[in-house]
Amino acid sequence: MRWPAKLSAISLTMEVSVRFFRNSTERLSELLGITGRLTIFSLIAAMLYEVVARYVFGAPTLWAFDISYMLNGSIFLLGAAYSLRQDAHVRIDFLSQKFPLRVQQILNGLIYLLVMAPIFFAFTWVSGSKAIKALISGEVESVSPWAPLVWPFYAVIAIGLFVFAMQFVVEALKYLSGERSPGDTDTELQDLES
Amino acid sequence: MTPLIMFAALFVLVFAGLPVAFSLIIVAVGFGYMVFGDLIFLQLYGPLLQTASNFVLAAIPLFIFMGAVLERSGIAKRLFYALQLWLGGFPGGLALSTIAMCAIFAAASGVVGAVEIVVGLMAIPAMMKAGYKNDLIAGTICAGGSLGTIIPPSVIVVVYASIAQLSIGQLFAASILPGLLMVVFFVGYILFRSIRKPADAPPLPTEERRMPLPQKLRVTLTALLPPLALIGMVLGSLLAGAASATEAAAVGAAGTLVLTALFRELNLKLLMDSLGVTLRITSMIMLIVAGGTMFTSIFAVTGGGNLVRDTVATIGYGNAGIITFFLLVVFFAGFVLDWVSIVLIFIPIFAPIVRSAGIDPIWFAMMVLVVIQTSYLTPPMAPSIFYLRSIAPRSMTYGQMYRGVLPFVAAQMLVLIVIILFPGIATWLPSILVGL
Repeated sequence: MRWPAKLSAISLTMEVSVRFFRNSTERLSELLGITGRLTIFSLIAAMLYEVVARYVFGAPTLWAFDISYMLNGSIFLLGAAYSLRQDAHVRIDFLSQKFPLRVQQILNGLIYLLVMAPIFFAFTWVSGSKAIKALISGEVESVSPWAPLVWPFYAVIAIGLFVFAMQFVVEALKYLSGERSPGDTDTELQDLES
Repeated sequence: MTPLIMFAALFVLVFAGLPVAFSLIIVAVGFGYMVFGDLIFLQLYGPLLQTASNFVLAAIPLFIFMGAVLERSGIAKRLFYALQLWLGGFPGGLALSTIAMCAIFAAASGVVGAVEIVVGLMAIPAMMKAGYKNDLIAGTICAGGSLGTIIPPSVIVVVYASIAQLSIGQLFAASILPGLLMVVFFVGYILFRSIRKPADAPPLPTEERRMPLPQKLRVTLTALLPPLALIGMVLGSLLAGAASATEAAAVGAAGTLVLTALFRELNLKLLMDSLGVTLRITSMIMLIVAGGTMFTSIFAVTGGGNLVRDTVATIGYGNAGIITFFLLVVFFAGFVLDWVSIVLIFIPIFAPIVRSAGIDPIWFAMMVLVVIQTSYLTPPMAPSIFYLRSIAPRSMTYGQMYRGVLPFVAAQMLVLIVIILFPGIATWLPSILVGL
C-alpha cells in the first residue's frame, strides 16, 4: 500500500497495521505449511506402522483408520493458506488472459476481499463453534472402535480455515495494489528448475 | 431452471479467470443462500468436513509425494538412457523410449503434469538432435504425459472412486488393460509413422548406443529394477487385497525414499521440495473436492437431479443414449475444464442415473476416464500443451503441437471404442481379483 508523502498520523497507523496484518498472516501461513509438511510425513509413518503391525506383529492397530483421515484432513487445511499464497489453484485463464492486467487484478482482488474472505470467515465461525462444543462435551468419534476425541481435529480445521480466510485478504491486497497478478506463478515448472 | 442458472454462473466465474475451486464455492453459497438463508454455512460445512474426513482421499498426498520424490531422484535420467540403448536403433526409437518411460513413470506415481515436464526436459533435446519432426515430438510428449491419468495408481481414480463410491482397488484393476492397450496404440502409431516416413523419426546412429552387452545389461537392470520393484510393491499389495490404497501408497512413498537414498540422491532440499509440492497439490485437489461437493449438493437441492433425469429420458435410446450423452458432456467439458473439476461436477450427477439404469459402474468409469484423458490434450484448455510450451524451444509452434496431439487423441478414441465394444477389457480383471 502506498500513501501520499504527506503522512498523517492516521494513515501511518493504518499503514503500520496493514503491514503488521500482512506479515503476521504470511508467517502464519508459512508456519501452517511447515506443520502440513510434517503431517505428510506422519501420515506415511502411521500407515507404514499399521502395515507392519498387521503383517509382522499380527495385530492391526485400532487407530489407523481414524488417524489416516484426520491427518489427511489436517494436510488439506494446513496447506490451504499455503497453496493460496502460492497461487496454486487451477485457473481456466485462456479467456481472462485477454483482459487488461489491471482488470484481472481488480476483479480477483475484489472477489477475494468481498466474497471469498467473508465466506471463509463464516466457515471459520461454524467450525470454531463445533470445535468448542466438541471440547466441552468431550465428543468422541462415534463409528470408530478406538473412539478418539474429535475436538483436536476440529480445532485444526478451524485454525486452517481462519488462516485461509486471512490469506484471502492478504492476496486481495496484493492484487489491488498491483504488486501481483492472478496466475503469474508457474509453480509446476518453478519447483523442478529450482 | 435454477440448476441451469447455477451452471451458467459457474462458467461465468470460471472464464473470468477465478480459480475453479473458488467459483464452485461461490456459486454453492450464493444459490444455497436462496434456499437455506443464513443456515447455508452450517449446511455447506457438511461437505467441507466430509471431504476433510474422507478415508479414501488419504491416498492422494501419498501418491503425490511418491511421484514428487521420483521426479527429483535421478531415476528418470537412468531410465531414459537405458531405454534408449535398447530402442534407439528402431525407427522412432527415441519416441518409443519416451512413451515407455512415461508408462513406467505413470505406473510408479499418481500425478500427471510433472511427469511430462521431467520426461520432456530430457526427451525433447534428444529427439530434436536426432532430427525428429516437431509435431511428432510434441505429440509423443503430450500423449506420454497423459498416461498418468489412466495407468494405475492414478490420483484421478482415487478421486473418482471416492465420489462414485466404488472400490479403488477394483477401479485400478479395471484400468490396467485399457492403459496397456493405450500404450500399444501409441507405440503402433509411432512405429507406423516412422516406418512409412523414416525421415520423420530417424534411428540413432550406432556409435551413440554401442556398448558391450554385460555393461548394457547392468545399466538396464539398475535403471529398470527400482521402478519395477516399486510398481510391484504398490500395485501388487493393492491388487492382492493385502493393503488398502492408502497403505499401499504409504509403502510406495517409503520405498521411493529408500531407493532415492540408495542412489545417493536423497538430501534435505529434495525432501522439503517434495513435501512442499505435495502439500500444495493435495490442498488444491482437496479444495476442489470440497467445492465440487458443495456445488453438487446445492445442485441436487435445487432440482438438478430431476433435470438431468428428464433430459436423459427425452433423449431416448435407452442405456446407449445415456452413455453417449454423458460421455459427450464429459468430452466437451474437457475442452475447458481440468480433470478434477470434471469428475467433481459431473460424476455425482451421473453416478446415480448410471446405477439405476443398470449400467456397470466400473465399465462406465473406464469410459469416462479415457474421455477425461483426451481433455488433457484437447485445446483450448490442454494442460499437457501448456506444460510442453513451458519447456519446448521457441522453434516449436502451437500449430505443430496441436497437429501433433491429434493422432494420439485418435488413438485414445480407439481405446474408447474397444472398451465400448468389449466391456470385458475393463471388467474382467476386477472380476477375477477377489477381495477388493
